[in-house]
Amino acid sequence: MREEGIKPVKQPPSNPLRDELARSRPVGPHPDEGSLAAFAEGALLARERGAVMEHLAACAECREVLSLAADARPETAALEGPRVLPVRPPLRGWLPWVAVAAGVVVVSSAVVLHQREAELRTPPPGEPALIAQASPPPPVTAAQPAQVATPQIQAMRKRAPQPIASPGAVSAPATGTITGAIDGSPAQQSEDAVTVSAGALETGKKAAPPADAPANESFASLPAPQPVGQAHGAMGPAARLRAEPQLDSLNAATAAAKAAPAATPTMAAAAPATITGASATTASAQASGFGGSGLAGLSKSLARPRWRINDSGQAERSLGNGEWQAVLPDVRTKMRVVSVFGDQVWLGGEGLRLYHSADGGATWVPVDLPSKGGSAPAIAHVHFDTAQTGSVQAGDGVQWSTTDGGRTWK
Amino acid sequence: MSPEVAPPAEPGVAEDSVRAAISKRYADSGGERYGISAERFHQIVAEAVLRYAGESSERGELIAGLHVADLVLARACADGNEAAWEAFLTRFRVPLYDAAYRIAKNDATGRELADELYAELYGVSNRDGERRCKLDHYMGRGSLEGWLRAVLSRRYIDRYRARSREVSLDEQLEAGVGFAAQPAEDNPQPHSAMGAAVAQSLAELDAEERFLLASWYLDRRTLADIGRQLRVHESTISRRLDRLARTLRKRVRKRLQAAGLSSRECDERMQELDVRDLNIDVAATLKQESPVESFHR
Repeated sequence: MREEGIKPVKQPPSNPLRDELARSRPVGPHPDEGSLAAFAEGALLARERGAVMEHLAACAECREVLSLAADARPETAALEGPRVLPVRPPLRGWLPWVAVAAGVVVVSSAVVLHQREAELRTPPPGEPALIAQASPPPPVTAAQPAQVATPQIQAMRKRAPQPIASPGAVSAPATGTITGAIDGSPAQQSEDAVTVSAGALETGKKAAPPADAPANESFASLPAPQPVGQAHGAMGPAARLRAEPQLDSLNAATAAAKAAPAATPTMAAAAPATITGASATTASAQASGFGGSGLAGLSKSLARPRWRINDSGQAERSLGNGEWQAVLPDVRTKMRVVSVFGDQVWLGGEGLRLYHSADGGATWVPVDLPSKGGSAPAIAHVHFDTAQTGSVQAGDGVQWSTTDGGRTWK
Repeated sequence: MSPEVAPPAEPGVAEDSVRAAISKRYADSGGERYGISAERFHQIVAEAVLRYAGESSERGELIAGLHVADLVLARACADGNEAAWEAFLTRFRVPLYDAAYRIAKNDATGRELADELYAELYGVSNRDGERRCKLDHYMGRGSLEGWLRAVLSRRYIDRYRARSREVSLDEQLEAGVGFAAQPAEDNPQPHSAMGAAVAQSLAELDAEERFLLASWYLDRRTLADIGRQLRVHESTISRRLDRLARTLRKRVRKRLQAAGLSSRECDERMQELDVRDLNIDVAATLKQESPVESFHR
């Protein structure tokens, strides 16, 4: 049988302190178990305690008894408050308040970071298909979104403090060539709605819909809600957004209708000034969707990634904190175009080099386009109607298209 | 079963006050439940007072601090009171075996340890046929449960020491200690001045400081272990050890210089005999929360 409770202490090489400590011999007989138990419980008289301590200082065996007995206490007893005295009994009065303040800061930071992370995982609202390209497409007029806006969106826009100010252009500080490429096609208009819905759907999870939401009633009477309504019941907002982005126009209307009544000028002001046009509606709806929570609204707008290509052809991303971070820093290819669809980001550049990120720019993979014998030196356009369907066009007009999110091109 | 005891030694006022204090505690003890009369209770407590209270001024404090309920229960068990045994089993059987398992860190050994003690608690007959009960030794100092843990711990160490003496050469060989060279008993030549300085400096410390040093440097206990034993927080132990090491270092250095060593020689001696290896080892193996500064810087 092996005794496991006591393990011989393996001593390192000799040194005078340890030698002298080991040389000391206990004075007198060992204290009885009652005294040791009382010592462990602090129940000895002062004189007794001194005597027992004197013995313990020189008696390894009694120290071992004391240690084993202490280890044998039930965990609950060992953790009892009175057994462990505070280091400094009179705790300074302001320390608890500092601790509380620190706790609030930590919790707030955690909330902001969590929302920011969640935002990065969902399609960025307000940027349905921002395409930075050398030759900007025709700008979007304010009338174009209005043509496809549902009554709910219109109602939302009426309530939103910042009306659509200008065609859907993004005033990102890029090389002056980045524009919001929202054309008049129904699909693109639907993407516009996706943008709205992305923020509003998020808010739908956080804020209960207003009890008197008239827009909800109008939403229920929409002519095309049936399939979306089914999807709404079957999936969570985020999953639905990822799985069926084409359905999000309706979701957008729903969320916007829920969010719009709560919009306030203050929250609208928190939205980034760089978002205009339909994006302004998005920002307003998004901000209002947080039920007036300035911190949350601000964090949402801060968390929205923004893209640009700088003067040297390097793609950069900003998470809303004012800093632009280079993506693909090791790639020497000069980028010419960036296209964003939700988390799907496409970068096209010289040498017909195409890069794809499926996680909002965190990781990238190069994409090989099949040779078509063209002579153009660079990709000029990247355009995605959905996360799966899109096309890439070279400068000479040669075009590639994909229907499976970029896995195959033809 | 219980020895006949005389009343407290000092007669007069002190005795009266002791009697009053004991009588006051009788109600707390619940002695009547187990057939312990007030007079019998007085005898039991007086025995503890005689054994532990050196001065009359300590008697009141001692009596007030006694765990009289546990004391009465233990005595009633020793007297063979069935109700007392039932209460004892209800309260202490599980904690006793749990403590034995924790001490032995082995179920079989722990059970064996607890069984042995249990038999002694119940009472074993000696050569004269007289039944002796281990519970008779409990004097109410500290809780009965704590006393049981201390008894188990002492018993376990005794078993360990007996077992160590019985270890065969083969087992020693397996353990890698069969041919280990015996450490030199005393090799003071290179560092005799250092050894003397350390010994003198240690002698100046009080008992608790030496206990701390022995627990930390010799027994290599963790700060938490030492803190539990002294009922203070481990960070307090850490600070005290830190301060103690600094003090000791200064004193040793001062003594070395007084012995005629130059400052440079002192540095060399202290570095030669540095115990930082110990601290590094301790930090690595015991995962100390806050490293304690080495004895020698």
